[in-house]
Amino acid sequence: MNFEVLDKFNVEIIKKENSFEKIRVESSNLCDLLNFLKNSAEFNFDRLNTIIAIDLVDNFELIYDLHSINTSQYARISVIIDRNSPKIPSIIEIFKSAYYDECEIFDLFGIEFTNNQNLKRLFMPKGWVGYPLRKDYKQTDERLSWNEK
Amino acid sequence: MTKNRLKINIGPQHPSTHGVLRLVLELEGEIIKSCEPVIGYLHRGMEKMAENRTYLQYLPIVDRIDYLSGFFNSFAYCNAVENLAQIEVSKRSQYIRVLTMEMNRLSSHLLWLGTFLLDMGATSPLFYTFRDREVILSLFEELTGQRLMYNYYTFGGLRHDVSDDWLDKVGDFVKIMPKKIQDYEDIITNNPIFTTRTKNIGVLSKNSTLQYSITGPNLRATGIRVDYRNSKQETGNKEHNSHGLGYLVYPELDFEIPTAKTGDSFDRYKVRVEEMKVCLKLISQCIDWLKSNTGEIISPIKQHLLKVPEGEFISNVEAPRGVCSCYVKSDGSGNPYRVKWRTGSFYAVQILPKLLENTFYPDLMAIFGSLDVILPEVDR
Repeated sequence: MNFEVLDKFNVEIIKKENSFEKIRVESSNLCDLLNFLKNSAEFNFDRLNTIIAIDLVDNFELIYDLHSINTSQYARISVIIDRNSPKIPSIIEIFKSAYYDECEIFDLFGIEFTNNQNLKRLFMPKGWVGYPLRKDYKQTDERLSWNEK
Repeated sequence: MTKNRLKINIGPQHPSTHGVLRLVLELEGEIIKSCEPVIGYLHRGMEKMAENRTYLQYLPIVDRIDYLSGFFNSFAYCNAVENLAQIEVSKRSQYIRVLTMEMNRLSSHLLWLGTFLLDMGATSPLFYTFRDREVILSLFEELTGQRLMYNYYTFGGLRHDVSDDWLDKVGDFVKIMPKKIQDYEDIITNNPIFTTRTKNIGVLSKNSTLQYSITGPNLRATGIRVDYRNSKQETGNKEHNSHGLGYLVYPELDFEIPTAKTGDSFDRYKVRVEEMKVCLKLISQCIDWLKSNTGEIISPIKQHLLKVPEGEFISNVEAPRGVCSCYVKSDGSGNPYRVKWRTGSFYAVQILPKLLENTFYPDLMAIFGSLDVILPEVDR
């Protein structure tokens, strides 16, 4: 694929050994980039397969896995988020299927998606303390009592 | 909430929800005004489990993600690890994998057909489909020792080879099955009760399937011809393979991809029935190949000492309920650093509020059943 047109979004193409090609972008440019990739005739990535969150100990990485129905191509957008204030703009305006993905990541990693109004815990019970898929999570089965929720 | 609206719960324990799903409905008379699915009752922490187990120890667990089509999950995970560790899979293993996966798809669709009709009040198809499914499960039991959780694939191959005797039994089954499928079609497809309950009910548009990331038969029922198996007949375009479509030996096999037009409940039924016929076609091609070719199937690598080089991989598999993706990230040690599952049912549940809005309450099961959702796959 020809990624040169993406230069206006300040992207960096990352290709490591034994890995797939990733398009690294700043979280502020994420929505613009996804909008462009979805609507431009050249790329036409019309389906968001999934969002993958990874705890890299120092920070979090989110990978947006985009698929194109017409050209059968993939694109993986990668965003690095600061661990101390994990916040990223929501993309449910662009891909509606992202809603459950974002809730799942909020539930298991504690990453907050701004603009996503109904962000809720999807799998863990209400009032669960901690985010299970973080690497520093210690299982205590602790929960907030009914009046602290 | 307005005065004459009634808020009711369906589930978590309900005979028609296959697994544990709760739907909070707001009714105005018999019309569903809003629906909110509540999931998480079957959350087992499959992704966390991977992080404190070795690659081999995690392998038996992945069958439990979708217990009706365990081979697909197993394959998605094995495929990711094999690609990361650069393990070769022999041609014979690949053919046996395709054979078992297609039999698994058939058994999964048979169970769906029976329970879908049962949800809508038709009792007898359940007995017919379970009778035929039982034949497949017995064959699997003979091959792997298990009826549902097979744990048959290993990294780079399979646990053991299939015997010619077993292949003959599968061949006999493939011979009688087309007549059975014709029998189902005779009693279901033109049945006026079934058609009035499913035609133009729960219509999914092309645009909303893509917006909500619906895949598999639900997507193909809207008329979009996308199948990650990618047969040679459908594309004829060699470029596709370089982008990851067409895994295993599927591009060498000859099969068509059934689609429908309107995307209602009836079309989803029709696509799945057509897919069952495609499965039979693929199974018989695999049997022919396996009978005339021999080869090694047990991989020489030491499974329990497997160390995977640093890297990451996403494997996409066309499972019976949509695309099943398995992401594996390795940090070079013996345990996976991160495993992420993407399953078709997760997104099919998400579209329920949109699909059920302003439909009649009795249509709830005709719509929900036709999406073929299985809850352990949603919650993982």
